[in-house]
Amino acid sequence: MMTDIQIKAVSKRFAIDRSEILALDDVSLTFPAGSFSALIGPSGCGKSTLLRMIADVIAPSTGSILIGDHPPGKARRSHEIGFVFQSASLLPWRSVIDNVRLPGELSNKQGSRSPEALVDLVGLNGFEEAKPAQLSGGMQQRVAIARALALDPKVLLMDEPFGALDEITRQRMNVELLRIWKETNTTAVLVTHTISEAVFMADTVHVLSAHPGRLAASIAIDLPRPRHLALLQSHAFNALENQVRAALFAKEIASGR
Amino acid sequence: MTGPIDHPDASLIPTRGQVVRQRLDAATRAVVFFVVALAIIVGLWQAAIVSFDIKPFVVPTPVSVLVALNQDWPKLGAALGYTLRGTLLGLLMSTCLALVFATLFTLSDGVARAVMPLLIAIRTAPVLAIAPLLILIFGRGQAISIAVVVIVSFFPILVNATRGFRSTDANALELMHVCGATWLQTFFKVRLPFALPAIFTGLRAAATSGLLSAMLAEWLSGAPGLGTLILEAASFRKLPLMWAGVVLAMTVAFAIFALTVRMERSVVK
Ligand SMILES: Nc1ncnc2c1ncn2[C@@H]1O[C@H](COP(=O)(O)OP(=O)(O)OP(=O)(O)O)[C@@H](O)[C@H]1O
Ligand SMILES: [Mg+2]
Repeated sequence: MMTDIQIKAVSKRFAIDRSEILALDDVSLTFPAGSFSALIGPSGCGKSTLLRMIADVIAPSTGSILIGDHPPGKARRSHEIGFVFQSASLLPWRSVIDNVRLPGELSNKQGSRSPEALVDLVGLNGFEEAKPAQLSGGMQQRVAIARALALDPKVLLMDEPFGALDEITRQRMNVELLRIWKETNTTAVLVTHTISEAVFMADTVHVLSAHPGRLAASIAIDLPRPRHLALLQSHAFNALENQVRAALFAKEIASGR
Repeated sequence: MTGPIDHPDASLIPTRGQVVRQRLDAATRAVVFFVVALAIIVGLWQAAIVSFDIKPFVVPTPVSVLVALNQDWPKLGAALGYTLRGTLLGLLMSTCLALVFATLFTLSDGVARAVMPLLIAIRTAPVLAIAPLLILIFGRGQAISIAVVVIVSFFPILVNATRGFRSTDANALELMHVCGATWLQTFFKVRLPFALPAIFTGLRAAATSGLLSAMLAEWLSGAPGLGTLILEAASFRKLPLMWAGVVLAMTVAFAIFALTVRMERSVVK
């Protein structure tokens, strides 16, 4: 069973001291069931905020969100959301393997892959018993990805998961992530700052603008799948990159900067 | 091993065997330090008595204390057993009570604001002043020892545990929320582990005063423990016996402290 995500006219206000800021302004979006979507936009435009509302961490000020036919709270309580945070958020006293086991312990559910297989999948075999403090930032983030996949989530939300990785590992992880996504039929949403990553991964790239956060453009990426690294040099790929870049820098381009 | 590993090399992580060996070495070193320190103190004690010509009715010699320790061991041992039982039961009870209250305080700010002033009032009332009341409630046996230990040691554990529970990493709480964890799961898998170092800080503070509190209770109640024994030995001018009791109390207090440190090492990784 695949699940879509619908964002319906969602706005989010935050109260800071006595003033209010409008983090997201009337955003409507659909992430189709089983699709891979990317969110890209300048820092502070509300990408994390949107992801946290989908995961039922915070509630929209106005508007509504549906995962399948239900509000996000239901998906969260049925352990159907996999979330990779902007910081790895591992429990420091747990070993790598025990961190990956955590979702299973909380739910009595089991994914199709064992925690051992997931650690292997993210390239950390041999580090099962290591503590997070003994890992580099990129390795910690890979543990967080393995943990998010533990229960075959219907919805996989990733907040800049590869921000701490070097270019080579990042590309390898991207290809790996696409393979996992295809196998698990999960509806994936990836927040990223990298245009090429957004185009390489997604079916649709949603570009957000800042102050207030609004949906500036949604660009369909009609590149064939499975996608290989050779794609990065193709003309079609570069054309789409330019399209995303144009949407991202629309204000700057218009003002002649 | 310390510091991050930036390239995957699993062989850099110490094996279980290496870790155990390191810990054993540390334990042996601690025992050696303790024995050496004890020998130095006893040596200085004896030297001071000889060089300043201190009279035996002021401070007895280490040898006479050792003789008393040996001769009166049945009496000392029984008294120590009595006091120790009150101390340990008291510490156990105050730890449980403090953790329950700290958990309630974490659940609700309102409860914390309502109950805290009451606890502070109980804590700050001098035990000597409320002694008649305590004796009335708890009698003159072991119960009053336990009560006084609880009153004195409850507070540091409570304050530290509450601080520990409240300072849980916000990211970890968000993770548990997204994973659909229940309140209890979040408490036992995240809040408690994050709070353990703080809880042990409180426990260590409580442990050092635990034995003293139990002896204080005996001075009020006259129960047959180490405190009463020391008091009586003093009033009968049996100085070696009194000092044997004091040395015994100090050693045991140190042992309780060391025990909490050991527990912390094995629980907090
Ligand atoms: N809990 C909060 N309280 C108050 N303001 C908040 C809160 N969370 C986010 N904001 C505000 O909402 C806006 C969007 O924040 P958000 O974290 O969603 O940005 P982002 O797009 O993820 O940025 P980045 O790319 O830097 O991670 C920011 O202006 C931020 O100050
Ligand atoms: Mg963010």
